[in-house]
Amino acid sequence: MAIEDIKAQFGLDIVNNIIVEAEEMGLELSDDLESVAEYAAQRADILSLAIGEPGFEFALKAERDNIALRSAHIGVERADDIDAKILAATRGGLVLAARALRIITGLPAV
Amino acid sequence: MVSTRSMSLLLCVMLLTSTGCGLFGRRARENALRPALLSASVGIEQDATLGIRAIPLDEHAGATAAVRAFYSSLQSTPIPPETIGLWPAVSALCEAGFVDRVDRQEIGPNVAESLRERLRNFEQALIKYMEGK
Repeated sequence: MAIEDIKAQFGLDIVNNIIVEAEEMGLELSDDLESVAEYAAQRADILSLAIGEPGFEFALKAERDNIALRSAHIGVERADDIDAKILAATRGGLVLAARALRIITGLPAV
Repeated sequence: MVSTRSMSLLLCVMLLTSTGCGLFGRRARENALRPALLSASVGIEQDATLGIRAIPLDEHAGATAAVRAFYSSLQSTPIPPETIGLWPAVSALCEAGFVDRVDRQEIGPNVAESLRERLRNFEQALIKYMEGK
């Protein structure tokens, strides 16, 4: 198998796995998927340099771990971002609701 | 006109919502990051164990215990914060092993680079996981 084929197949397999896992998680990673695919392509390039070296199978496993870790890391950052937006909206809503309640009940403003 | 009761109910709902925040982050950590950490830890434990060969003999017992403690800590659900403190010793063993294994021609230099990248990604992932704790 030519090096270019290995690189192409490796990147394709990894990105396909990421898509399946993201769908199973119910997370939308469309934007992030691009950055992970870019990282996968970079790692495929690095991996191609290791072809023929002793211990290549260790590098193959390590690169799959690298993609999985990077993908999960990005997924957590996205999820944290969603949480932060929800919290900000909730806190803002709480303040407004508390003020409205004070007005309705006639309590003095804080 | 919105009643007091309605506003009170609304406040309760929003308070409950705010205490549930962090849900997506927690779920992503347990469902995505933790499995990736566990998968990577298999290879890292192997690297660390092979790294023990590269250190002085009188340090072998302590190093073996350190690797076991780290791997055991990773198996807990959730991964406890003290796992971070166990990481530097494991990482150092892995690095010592990479140098040693390249010298012995057990792995090539580009293979070592892939293994080092895994250490970097693992550390960042572990830190990110702990940020949610």
